[in-house]
Amino acid sequence: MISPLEQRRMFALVTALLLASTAAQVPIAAGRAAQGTQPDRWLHVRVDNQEAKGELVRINLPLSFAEKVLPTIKHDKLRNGKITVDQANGVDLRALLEAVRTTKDGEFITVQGTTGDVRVAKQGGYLLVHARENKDGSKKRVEVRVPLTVVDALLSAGNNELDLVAGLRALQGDTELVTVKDEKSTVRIWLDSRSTSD
Amino acid sequence: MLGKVMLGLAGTTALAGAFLVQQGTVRVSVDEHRANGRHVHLLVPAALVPMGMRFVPVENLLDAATQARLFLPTIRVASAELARLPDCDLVEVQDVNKYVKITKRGGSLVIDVQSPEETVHVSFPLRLTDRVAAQLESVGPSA
Repeated sequence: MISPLEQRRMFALVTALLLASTAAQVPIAAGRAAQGTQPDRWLHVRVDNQEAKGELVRINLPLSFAEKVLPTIKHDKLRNGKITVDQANGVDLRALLEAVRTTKDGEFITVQGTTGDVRVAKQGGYLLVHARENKDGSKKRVEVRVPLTVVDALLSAGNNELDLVAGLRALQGDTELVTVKDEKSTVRIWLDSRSTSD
Repeated sequence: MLGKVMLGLAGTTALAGAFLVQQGTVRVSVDEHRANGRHVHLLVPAALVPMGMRFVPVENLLDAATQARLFLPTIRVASAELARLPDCDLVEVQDVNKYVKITKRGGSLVIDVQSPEETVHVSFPLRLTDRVAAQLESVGPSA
């Protein structure tokens, strides 16, 4: 026969065990809940090499992660999510972006040569860069597509600075940012709402 | 009387077990592929790491904290952000000889490196990273 005191002790022990086992399940349940909802947009980088033992790179990074982590990095010209831009090779990058932003749609640069073509244009809210190389049998093709809202956001920092965090926040929807293709490899940088780059 | 003692021991063991399971484990394994290469395999309950840090001489901890000081805020924010992500493959790099993969699995960050020289596997709970960083911050020069 168990005494009332022992019954209370048993009850306390069983309750403590149940609480402990529940606590152990909390992170697992939280993880499952997190898996169920994927509100993040992901930045993907994918490099594929067609050679048998070629390179393969897959990077999948949520934009929110980059937005939170960038401001904590203080290194060289990167501070508080903003990067200081000096004039490089006589080109004022900030002034150049500002000029692109305020100009009407149209082609800025068109170069057609025997070894390749280059085209830089502003069209439908995007800054577009197309480059194609036809040299020594090379079929390299580069395409860059930057939303102008991102350019606006980058320029929202003070003089001589680009606000990278604001730029990331301005990236909306599923969009292809960079594609580089040649006969050996393909590089893609794009945004979507999936956590995988398959 | 013996029954009560056994019951107490069983209860304490179960509670301790549940706590350790909840906190996760740190796993490190290194296998060198050369002849007589080292084979290191560690499996440590994550709950013991912050406790173990209390026994590290203060000067050693201070040295580590000073070196890591600049990165600690980044590490804390990054681990908190990674912790709230669903399980995913973050980085995968393959070249002719080496393969590196960084994934998030069930609250842990898992790092696998395979090369002709060695195979390395490291996994640790992301919450542990935050706790260790917080401990280092508390002994660091900025504290």
